[in-house]
Amino acid sequence: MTAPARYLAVLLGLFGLVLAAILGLNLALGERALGSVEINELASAWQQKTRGITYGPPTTNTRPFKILRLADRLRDINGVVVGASSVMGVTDTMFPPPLRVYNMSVAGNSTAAAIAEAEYLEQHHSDRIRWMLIGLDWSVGMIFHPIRVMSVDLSPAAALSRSALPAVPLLKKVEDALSLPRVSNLGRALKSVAMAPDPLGSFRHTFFDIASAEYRCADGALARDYDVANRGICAGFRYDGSWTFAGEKHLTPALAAMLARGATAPSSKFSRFLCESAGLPRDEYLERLRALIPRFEKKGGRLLFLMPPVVPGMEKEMLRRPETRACLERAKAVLGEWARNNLVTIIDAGASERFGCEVSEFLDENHAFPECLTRVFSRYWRDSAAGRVGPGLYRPE
Amino acid sequence: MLFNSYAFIFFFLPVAFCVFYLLGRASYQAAAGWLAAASLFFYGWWNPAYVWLLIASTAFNYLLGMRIARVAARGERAAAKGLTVFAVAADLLVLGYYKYTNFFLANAAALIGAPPQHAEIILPLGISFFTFTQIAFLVDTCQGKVKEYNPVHYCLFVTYFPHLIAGPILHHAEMMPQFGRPETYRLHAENVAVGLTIFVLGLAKKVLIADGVGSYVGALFDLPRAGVQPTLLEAWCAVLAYSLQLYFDFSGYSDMAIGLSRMFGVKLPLNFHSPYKASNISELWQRWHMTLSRFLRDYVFIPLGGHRKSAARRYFSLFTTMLLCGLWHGAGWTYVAFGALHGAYLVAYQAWRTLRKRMGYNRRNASRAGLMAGCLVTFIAWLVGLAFFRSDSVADAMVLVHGMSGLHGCALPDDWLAKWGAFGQWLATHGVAFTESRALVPSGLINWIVILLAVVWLAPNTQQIMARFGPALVVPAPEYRGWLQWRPAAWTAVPVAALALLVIVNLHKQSEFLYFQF
Repeated sequence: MTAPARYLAVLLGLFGLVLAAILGLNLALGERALGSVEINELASAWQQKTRGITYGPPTTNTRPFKILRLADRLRDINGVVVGASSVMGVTDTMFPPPLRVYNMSVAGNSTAAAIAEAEYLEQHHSDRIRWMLIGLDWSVGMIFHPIRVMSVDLSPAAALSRSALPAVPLLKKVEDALSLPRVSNLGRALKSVAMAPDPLGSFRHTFFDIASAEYRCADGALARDYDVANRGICAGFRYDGSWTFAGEKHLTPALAAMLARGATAPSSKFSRFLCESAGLPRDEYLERLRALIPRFEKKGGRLLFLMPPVVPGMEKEMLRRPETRACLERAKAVLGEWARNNLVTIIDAGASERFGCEVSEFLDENHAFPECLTRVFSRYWRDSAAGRVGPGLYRPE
Repeated sequence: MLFNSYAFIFFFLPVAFCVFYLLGRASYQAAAGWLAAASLFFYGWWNPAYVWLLIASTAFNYLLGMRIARVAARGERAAAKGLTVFAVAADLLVLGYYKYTNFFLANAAALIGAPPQHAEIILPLGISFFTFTQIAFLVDTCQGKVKEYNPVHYCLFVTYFPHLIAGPILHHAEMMPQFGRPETYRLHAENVAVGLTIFVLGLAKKVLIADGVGSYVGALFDLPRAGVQPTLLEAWCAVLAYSLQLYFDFSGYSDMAIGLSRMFGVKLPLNFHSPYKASNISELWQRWHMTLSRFLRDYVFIPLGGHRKSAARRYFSLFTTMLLCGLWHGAGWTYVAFGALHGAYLVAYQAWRTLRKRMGYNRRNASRAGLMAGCLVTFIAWLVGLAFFRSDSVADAMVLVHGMSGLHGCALPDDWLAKWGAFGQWLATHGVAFTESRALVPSGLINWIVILLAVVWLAPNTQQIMARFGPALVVPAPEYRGWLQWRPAAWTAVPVAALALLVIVNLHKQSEFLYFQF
């Protein structure tokens, strides 16, 4: 064998071997990481039985799991939260009795989808659901995006149909298996396997078992992981549908200040989304909600809206830059007027520092941990009980 | 299809490679034909409709070339010249239609005060490259320099996928003999080893470096459009980051083209040779996009008079050539400004050189410090040009240039004040101003710039590392004698395999090459 041939043999052999190992293991993980109807059913049944913490993967499409959970929970709740990840921290304990709430929000849920979900609940479950909280998220542009409101089906049959989790072509699976986030995740999984007391058993458990064993979280709650990522850290939905945010880092004041300033940079997603329609919320959303309010109220229901908290100081920064100031003020003015005209309240938690939120109660610019949301709601209920809340935007001065 | 895509690396390349060498055992013509067909498939992956444009252009130029050759062989020089002018004009018309129609419409509308006009024209990928390659063929044919007219080889010469989308701009004379050699169609482990290594190095430059530093560029160049006046630091960071993104993007692409071609037994001309090490602007253009510079010299500058006429005429020719060079890069006033600026640079350099020659200065005796100073001045001039090259409008570019001159303040980002602790406080008390700087909030850019400038100026380039194995057609002197020289051995395969794996797991964020748009 010549030197170049030897070189090629080593190069291609090493490359092929490592790549095949990565591909094989990640495809094995990916089959479950991408989720399935069966996994959602098992995860939902387990939570209903134990009231523990879990979710059906992937984290980017947890709606089928949430639909199954809603079906189980309908008999003992009277309120629902709909929205995106920015309201996923809203817990049942944030509401005064007799409200018993299930949080239906899922990551990446558009305002269009949230409205469609609210309409479905009003049409099909207004005999039980008397109260709905809808997230109106300006920070990542949810209320501005040009997405049409389509009808949704929140019945368990829809969640259990194969179309709930669209089939992924093999090529896409291969690309996904070779991507850096997946390879990093594989590295972490292999590291924990290597450090386990029984590496072989741990390997089998990680790569081939459908779920982890049940375990206890620091607060005593029971948990079980059906995803191959985030194992053993109590990441998942609680029985009330709120996300635990377990394993997530809390912002430091220095980082929060940097993020708040960075959010106002012209190229940041926050500035771009806010000003992409000059701060004007999509007409269709306001129109659909305007029609929903009297329909739901006629059936004895009540709607409340929440502009989710953003990290303390970020709105102040937005208001300092003339371009973003104009867009933000316009968005709030339009929503405020709309709420007054329709006799509803929008909790404007954007300037979260007004509610006493601290930067350490945030994951990033627009994701508040339950601690901050608790402050927002306790302030709201207190002011509401004192008769200080009326139609329009609600924010403490 | 992108070189930095899964489809190319795991599907197109292995299939094209295996079938090429299998066919090469039976018939060289079949192997060449296969490679041409595979190249058309490679091109059609982007937009199948434009494959017909490429085929039509190839057929048109080949047939006209044959006719020109026949007419020239009969001694009818005027008729051959007339045919050549017609063919070149037709090529330029097609190029002009696709590339410059909207530019023309927009300016015409602005001139007469009409509302802006826009035609729905999609620029075919690589049209500038395959058009210029064929113009060179036509002119060489007219001058009697072309010796081979094998239609399969000609088709392969134009469509050959390693160069099709973003160069190098090939010369008929350097490619056709290689396609005609039986040796090309035989599998040689050395060719594959050399080619694969260069390809991996190029891919790493693109995926790990160019895309990494490139993620900072957009935000900084968007500042003027958003009404923000960049500070001295922001403006310099913007042009430095872009200069490094463009450098590693184009250098990576050029390496990949050379490496891929070498795997098929064909050597391409060198297109990129550490241009930021150039000690004057003329040398920079001899190292940056070398085949475009060669084309412009042979087919624009020399026909305009070259060095044979008066100094004034020479300067005019230089300026015009660079103006066209700018316009070749894109249809916009920013590109025209870029070309004009470089034309002015080259004229100034030529005038300076003439003056120094008269004063008895010999460049060969230049001191190391002198060369370094020249390198720095050249690089700064290049950066000013890039402010125009990357900006959306000349007005935005001017805002950036003003920022580079310190006209919008010289403060440092206030985040650094906290980050630097006592040192930051010391600077603040000694007159250094700190202010908020939103565009530099994402950290890491300064590190990228410092490390990459060190690589650009101090490290040998791919051709030098691979020099023992003649990676390209001509590698300029002086020969590299440093320690970092590649040789095929089991131990050198390990880091290359590791680099290849690192690149593959980063491919999911694949992005286009900057030179695709030209």
